[in-house]
Amino acid sequence: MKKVLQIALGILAASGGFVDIGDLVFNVEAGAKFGYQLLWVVVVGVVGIIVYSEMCGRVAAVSKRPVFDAIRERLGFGVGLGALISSEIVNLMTLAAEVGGVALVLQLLSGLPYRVLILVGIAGLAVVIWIAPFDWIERIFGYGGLALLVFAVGAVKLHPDWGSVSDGFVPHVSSSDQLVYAYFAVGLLGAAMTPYEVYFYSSGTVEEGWTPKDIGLNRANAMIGYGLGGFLSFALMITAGALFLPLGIEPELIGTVALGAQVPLGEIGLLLALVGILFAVGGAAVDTCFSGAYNLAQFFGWEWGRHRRPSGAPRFTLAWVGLLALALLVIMSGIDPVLLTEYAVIFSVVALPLTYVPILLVANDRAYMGRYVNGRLANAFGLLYLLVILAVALSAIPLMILTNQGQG
Amino acid sequence: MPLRACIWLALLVLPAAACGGDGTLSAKAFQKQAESLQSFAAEGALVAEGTADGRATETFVSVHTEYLGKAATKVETELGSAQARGGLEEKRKSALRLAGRITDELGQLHRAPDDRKLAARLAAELRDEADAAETLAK
Repeated sequence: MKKVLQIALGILAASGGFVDIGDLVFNVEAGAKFGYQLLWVVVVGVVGIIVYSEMCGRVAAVSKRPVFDAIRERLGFGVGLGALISSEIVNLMTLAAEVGGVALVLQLLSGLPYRVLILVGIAGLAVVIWIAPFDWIERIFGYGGLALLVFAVGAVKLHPDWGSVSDGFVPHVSSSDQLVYAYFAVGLLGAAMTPYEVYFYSSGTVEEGWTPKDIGLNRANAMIGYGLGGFLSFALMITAGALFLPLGIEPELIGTVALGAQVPLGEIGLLLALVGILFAVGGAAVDTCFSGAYNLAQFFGWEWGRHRRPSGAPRFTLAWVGLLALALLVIMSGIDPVLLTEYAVIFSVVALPLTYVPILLVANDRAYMGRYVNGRLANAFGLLYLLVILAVALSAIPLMILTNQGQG
Repeated sequence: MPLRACIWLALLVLPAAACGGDGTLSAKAFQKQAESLQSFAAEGALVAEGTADGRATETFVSVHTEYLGKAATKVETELGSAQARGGLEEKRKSALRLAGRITDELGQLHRAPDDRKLAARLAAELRDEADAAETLAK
């Protein structure tokens, strides 16, 4: 029973962390632009994040060393510092976008001014992070994020052409707007494999005190949790393809995403969608905030962990408080959270190799991993995805410029 | 020419090319504006339908239409300050009038999110305007 509960908690954490503002934006925009044609890219992204999350969770469970420990050791101080700076910039952009998303959803629920709600959102997040134990943070945002399942019901109620939906799972190249199609494919992969997810996942493994005995649990968490996140992504894209594409709607606002549940399901659908988005985006804000603090602490060798009292890890505590304060400054400047999200996702794609190469190296090091070293299957998938990651990392910025951020 | 200079030149030339190169509205840029108007009108119609049927909260309708209205106002301003040549100028003027109507109707919905009769009328008008914008974009 305890194992089942542990799996359930992991599933909730992964599903809450997977569907963040970047996934919401890119899945709905892709569905509104290309219908169901890009569903296969979500599958590629979900398998990729499962492969590398399982790997970094296993490394952390066996060696007690999370991702940024490996990055510094394997890439050296100079390159490691470059990886740290780039990941912190992307983390901050993502955190600011998530905080802006929280404020926008609170505004759609309450009607209060946006800037006031930014302050409310930041204060709420800080209180939850300060007071709640690590597993309760997972539960609060994970359970709340499951309200996003309303989009799956909405997708069915919109009666999409299921033949076209199934065609969308077969990899293919679009016959029109090929550059824009490629931009969205890269964005969807970036949103699915965002580096902060593995930083958080591997550090969370250490926070929860997993050992080699928990390797089966780690595998189940990664597969079922991210699988559920992928399912939610399918639902969002199918909803957008069935509802927005025929009407020529180009989703640019968080409220537009919620319309995908309001139109087929009415007021209850709207409220569930807004609550789901609030918890998913809020959960992602917590993940990114922690990830930024984890990375700094692990790189510089500070005491870290939410399982410690703030006085037991003062520099780690100062780091997450400082990141929240910086995110507040960024989002209060008036920048559009949705636009910031798109930049954050594309820039995170560029940083992907710096995150995933060290994980693959350490997972293959018998001195660290002993009998838990990568098997042939894990290496085959790991290498295949490394090639995919390199290709998308090289093409992300040129595609963003050439397509005017997917506008064509 | 050094690579860096080529990149800077491309970054400067690409946005200018979208406007026609000399500050005038290109056919492609106009098409994007008309497609945006179609999107705002169609989305406004969906929100208005939900209001008319009592299937959306007043707060959501008021806040979301305010954002849609701001986005439509931005397109209206851009169309108003642009210049076009030949047949495109006529289309620009039509799109400008359309943008004004869409902005106004989204504003009405924002100010009266509880008025179901008004919402039903606005839904029909916004649907028509979405069709008109689609025609202009072609």
